[in-house]
Amino acid sequence: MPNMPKAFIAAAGRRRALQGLGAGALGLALPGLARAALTIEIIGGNSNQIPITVLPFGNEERYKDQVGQIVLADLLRSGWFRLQDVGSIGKPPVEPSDVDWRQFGTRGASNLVIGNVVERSDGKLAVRFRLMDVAKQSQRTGFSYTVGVEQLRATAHKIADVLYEELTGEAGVFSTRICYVVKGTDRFELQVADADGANSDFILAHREPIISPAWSPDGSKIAYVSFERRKPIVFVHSLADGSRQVLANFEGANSSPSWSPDGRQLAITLTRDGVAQIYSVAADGSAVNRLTNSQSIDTEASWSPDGRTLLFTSDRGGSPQVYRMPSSGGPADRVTFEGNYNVTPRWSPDGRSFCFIQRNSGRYNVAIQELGSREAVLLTDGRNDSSPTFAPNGRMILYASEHNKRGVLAAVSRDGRIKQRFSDTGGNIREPAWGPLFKSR
Amino acid sequence: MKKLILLMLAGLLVTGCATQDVKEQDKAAVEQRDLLEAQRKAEEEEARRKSQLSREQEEVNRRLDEERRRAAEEAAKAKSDAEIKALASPSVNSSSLDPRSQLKDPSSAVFKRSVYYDFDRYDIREDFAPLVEAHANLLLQNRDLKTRIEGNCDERGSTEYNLALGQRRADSVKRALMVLGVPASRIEAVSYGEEKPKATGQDEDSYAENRRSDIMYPGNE
Repeated sequence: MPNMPKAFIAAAGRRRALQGLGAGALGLALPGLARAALTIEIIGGNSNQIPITVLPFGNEERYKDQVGQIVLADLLRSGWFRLQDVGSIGKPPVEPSDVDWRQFGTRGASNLVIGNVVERSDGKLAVRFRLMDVAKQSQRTGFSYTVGVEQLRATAHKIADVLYEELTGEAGVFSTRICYVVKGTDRFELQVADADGANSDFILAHREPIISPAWSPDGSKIAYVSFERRKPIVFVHSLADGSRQVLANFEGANSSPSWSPDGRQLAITLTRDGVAQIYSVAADGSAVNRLTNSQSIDTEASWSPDGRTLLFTSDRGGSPQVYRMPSSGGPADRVTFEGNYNVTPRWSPDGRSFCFIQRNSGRYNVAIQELGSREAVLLTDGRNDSSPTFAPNGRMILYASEHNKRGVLAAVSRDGRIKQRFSDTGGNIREPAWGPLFKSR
Repeated sequence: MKKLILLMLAGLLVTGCATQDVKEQDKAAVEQRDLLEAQRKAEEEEARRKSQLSREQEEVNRRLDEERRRAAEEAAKAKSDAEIKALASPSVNSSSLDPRSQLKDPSSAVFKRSVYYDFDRYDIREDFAPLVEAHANLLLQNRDLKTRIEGNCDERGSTEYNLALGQRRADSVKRALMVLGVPASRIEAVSYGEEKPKATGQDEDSYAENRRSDIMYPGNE
């Protein structure tokens, strides 16, 4: 590759990583019908948005998944960017040497993304992109990926991740996945979709309820609670081959699975010894160990990112509140104090705060609180918001809400400024869980 | 515990034999004595605990027997009353004691199956005590009958907290039935949390309808 610009050579490591991602995506060939795609509507944006101009990639119109369009949609949907439209410019440039800097400068472009899709002799596609700084008339970053045509969409998300990180300083989450439960009439489906709601498919469908899905830290498995045997039982479901195993099926209720950060064990809630208590269990279902010893409901454990501490819900003080204890069990201290209903704590990925559901004047909303502070900040205003789940970069919180009396997914940024609503054509959507960042090997 | 002590003891004896040092042997012997003493004490403690437990168990059994006897007497009395009634009025079907027909009979005390709760509560309200008693009697009169208590919650708040609350509700009915003499082995208590709302409205009446335990008789209704 004698004419290959430096950045393209530097991208070799990433190219391998992307191929790894492709294999993962192929492994996710899930059984069942394709589902109606969720669409995301932004209902509030950051006041200080970064201007972005993404030109159509060369040849992208030849393929169903048009890379430039997907990249732009990802960035705009995040709420952190605003489209800097440059009007009609004729044939869009695909190489730095084609860029008419004066033209883009006078039309207000500052962050310009160009790229192209080139079919190679072996049938694979070379997707290249560059982020150009118009003021400096230079390239800020740029990579090349060699992929199959079926990976164009995943590649576009990967490009959006690189751009997001370059321009905001935090990891992008466009390549991540989410899962949620769709409740139809007499049918519950556990669905997995891309973070933008595309490619949704179900991994489990049953007449009986499914709740509390939880991604394993490596994204390869989902633990959940299924009532298919007419009582709540915890299963672990492998996404690669659809195989699954019972994690906990004791007398009474088995529920609330939560993976430890190293993926070796889970915290679960059992009622086998009486009232709901928290236990740890190895990922293969062995070594069940009781962690709480109260006469009250203890449930909804959430691990700190360092694995040392659990947040959980307990009504030991007379009303359900959030408590904290060592992950091996031991004394617990209360961490929420406002109001008489604070539940479903979820630790933020940076470990500094947690989100939860708080009842205020009969409404149930997502709130966030710094660890060590006693003050909660209310983020949402729905009637019955529930099941909050952090994006793996900690910027957004996905949760279940209601719109026109139907269950919908919504998301809010941790500062409350950006609000998104996901919609679907049918069914009630509930119990979302945001998957982990895809770890490159 | 006992096994562990014996194992340690065996280990000590081996060590004791292996060493040529008399002092060491003496020390081992002292340790062995101490261990034997500890073992004896542990055994005594265990025996004391066991006898205490069995006394408690006897007391519980006695009370349960008493309750069962009383319930059986009541049942027999109810039965003879019903038989007398049946003789007196031929219109009353003599099979009315069959649990299936009782459960289907709108005038029967066990026709109603639902116990309702206040918000975030799981204690059985006084107004539902007669209903629970009626079902206890039905179960005491029909020794083959099994029941399944399903606890439910309204849709507001946490799915998982509601699942735990629903279990408490189902367990509260199970405990009440057990106090009335129904053996635990014939009662299954499960929670559906907020997952199976009977009323789908978003108002207090619907929520109240969904804060409920249902006393079910799978295969008999």
